[in-house]
Amino acid sequence: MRVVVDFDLCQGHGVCKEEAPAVFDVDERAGRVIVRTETPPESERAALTLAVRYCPTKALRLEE
Amino acid sequence: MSRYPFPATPDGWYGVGRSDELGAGEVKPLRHFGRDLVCFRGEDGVARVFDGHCPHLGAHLGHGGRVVGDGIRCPFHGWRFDGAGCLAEVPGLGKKPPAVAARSWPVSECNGFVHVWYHARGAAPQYEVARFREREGEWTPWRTCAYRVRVHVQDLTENILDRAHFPNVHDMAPPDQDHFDVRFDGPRLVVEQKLKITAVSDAGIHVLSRTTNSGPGISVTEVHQGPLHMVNYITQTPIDDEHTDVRIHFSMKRLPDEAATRAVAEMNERITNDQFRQDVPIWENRAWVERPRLTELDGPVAQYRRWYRQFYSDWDGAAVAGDAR
Repeated sequence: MRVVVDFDLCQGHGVCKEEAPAVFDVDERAGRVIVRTETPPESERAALTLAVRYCPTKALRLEE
Repeated sequence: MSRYPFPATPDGWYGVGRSDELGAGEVKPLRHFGRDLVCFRGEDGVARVFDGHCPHLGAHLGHGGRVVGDGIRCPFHGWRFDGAGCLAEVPGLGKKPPAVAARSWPVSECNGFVHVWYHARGAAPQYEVARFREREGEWTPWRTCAYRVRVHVQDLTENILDRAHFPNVHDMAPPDQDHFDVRFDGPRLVVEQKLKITAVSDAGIHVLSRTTNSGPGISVTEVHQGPLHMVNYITQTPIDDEHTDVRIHFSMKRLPDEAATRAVAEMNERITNDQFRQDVPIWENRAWVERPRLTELDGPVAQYRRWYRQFYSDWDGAAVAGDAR
């Protein structure tokens, strides 16, 4: 499982960090997400699914 | 001062009138893109758009200018411009006229409308207007409602995929989750949705609606509902930095019964215009929000705004936003 961010869309709202804090952080100054680990463990799948669904700019997706 | 960080007129094709309202030899003044323009149909049947003011001493060709051949003669000193806008004759001069031209704008006449191409950097047309009228069956003549609204054209088109406003602003059930499809395809944006209109009866009318946008200026919604097939051809053309000329043209496939056709057309006109007027106070007083905190109920607004950047060749923000990585 791999996390893909479209940085052209990301505005750093931080919703993903709220859903999956182990995977995401936010660079407040740059106004964009930081992916802590691009290939997170399977245990993060549920949280990541919510992060993808609730991203305000729909900038996230998961690749298998 | 514009409410928006981007230019008032994005690059693209814009409608400037119905073909059947511009007969051969007719001349009309236009006011669009913060400029004066003249639209006329030459004796060759071709619609043309020139800069409105004569390059000689500034008279408006749209006020008293007369069609001669495929070109136009200025009402002031009689200078005659040919179909390409080049000065062809100065009455009484007795020699070759100076190399002067009225600026000629690219024109595309299709679907029963005259469209003009605007590009902030003067580039040639970069796409074609999607064709709609070359289809089977007999269609009613266009019925047109015209509005002048204080709104940016980008907000007009955003409205189509802003699904969360339908139940709140309009008498419509939210679009079915399974039937809401948005496709960004080069200069085109296609939105398909199943909608339930409850304006007429509580049970609602279920319609399948497909909107095809050709760039920022032309938005065509085809509606299928049972045996009905209807088209709202919307042209939205900036007038100046603040205002847009919005024209909603309606046509439908004729039903076997003429009275039924007329009744459906009148009902559609009422629903469409009621809905349009419901949006107007929002548009006219809305502010630009750069980082909207969208939720999963909203349509793909961020993707839409990214798609729209392609129409701002003359705006640094289009490049800056895209490079913020």
